[in-house]
Amino acid sequence: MTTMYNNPAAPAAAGLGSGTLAMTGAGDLFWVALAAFALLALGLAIKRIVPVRGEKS
Amino acid sequence: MITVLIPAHNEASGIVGTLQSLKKLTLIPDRVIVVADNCTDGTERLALAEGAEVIRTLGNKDKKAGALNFALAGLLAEAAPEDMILIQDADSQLSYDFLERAVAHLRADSRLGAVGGVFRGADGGGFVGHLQRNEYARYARDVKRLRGKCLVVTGTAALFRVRTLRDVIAARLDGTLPAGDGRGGVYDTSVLTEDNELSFALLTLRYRIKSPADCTLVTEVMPTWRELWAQRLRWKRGAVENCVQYGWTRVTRPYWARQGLSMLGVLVTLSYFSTVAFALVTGAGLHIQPFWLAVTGVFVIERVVTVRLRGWKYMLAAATMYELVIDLFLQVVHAKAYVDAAFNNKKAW
Repeated sequence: MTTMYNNPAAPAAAGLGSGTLAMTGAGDLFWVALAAFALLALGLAIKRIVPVRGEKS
Repeated sequence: MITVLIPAHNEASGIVGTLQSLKKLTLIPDRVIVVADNCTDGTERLALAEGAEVIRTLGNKDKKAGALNFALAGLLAEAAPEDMILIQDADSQLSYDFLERAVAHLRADSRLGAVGGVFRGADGGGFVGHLQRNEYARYARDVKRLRGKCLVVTGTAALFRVRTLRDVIAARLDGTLPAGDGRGGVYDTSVLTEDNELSFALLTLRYRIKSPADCTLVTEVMPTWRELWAQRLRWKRGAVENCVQYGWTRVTRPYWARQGLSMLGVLVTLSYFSTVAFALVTGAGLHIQPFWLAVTGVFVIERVVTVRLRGWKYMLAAATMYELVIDLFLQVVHAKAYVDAAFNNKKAW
């Protein structure tokens, strides 16, 4: 068995658990890349939350 | 005719429960065969006592895949094309109607190559066991929402038609599929995750695969972090290597995409915590941002909602985000799997 519940949002959720993104001076591009992934993970998380048709509540 | 095949290597602790669960099915299989593979415990004796047939492997060095190929070679030679074979783990108990429902799914679709199960985690294992049960519940929810669409028909329990497995053998021998053991075995003995590879094989042969929500079973969880590490390292590395093995195809594209996202996730996790550490060490500090706090809130909701199958107490607990422990653990496992695959480090499982 290989494909378990693999949530790509997990690292972003872990990182954002403090409600922050560290501004380290590593450069805007780096920060933007992290933020972009976090937003991608956000989209995936919303997709998981939203009920699908036919799903019992 | 329906035959159940149970590969077992020193499974004395679980084989009785597994065989007893088969006696309670609403559709009783015609044959139950335990494939005793290099057993040094009481597996064979216990299986015979429960009324199962026992086949003993001879000189098998290819673990589960080798044991299954050994048993299937004899079985497939005698079977009719529409006969069915259920292959299940020795540490898993099927729900009472699993077989009846799985057979109905298979009969309803001539191009359905395999029907797998949706599993719940068995009791035990303390905190790490609890985390896996939550994880399995989320997986079950995912599969249910996708109406049985799954990436892999897991080796935990899967039902096949004989003709499907014969197609796989023929395709291995004519080069359409990877050669596997080179002797026309159904399972590829050269990979870490033979169930994942067989799923790829079926999809390549334009079969469909499915894990319907009504085909449920209970399977053991890993009782320690160490064993979970070993299990997930094998799964992850196996999945990556299966993608490499099949290359970039119509079938593997979505799997590659998931691997890419997963790899990106590992890098992001590493990068993020590096930045936090850097900020704390240098005194730059962290600044709470309302926007990111709101984003975090969505992740909390996701954790809560997706564990719904476990009940409200678990949903409430999930809001604390304590499960990040296993999320981060799995990130490390994935990183190790990518490194091992890239450098072709010694495989062990």
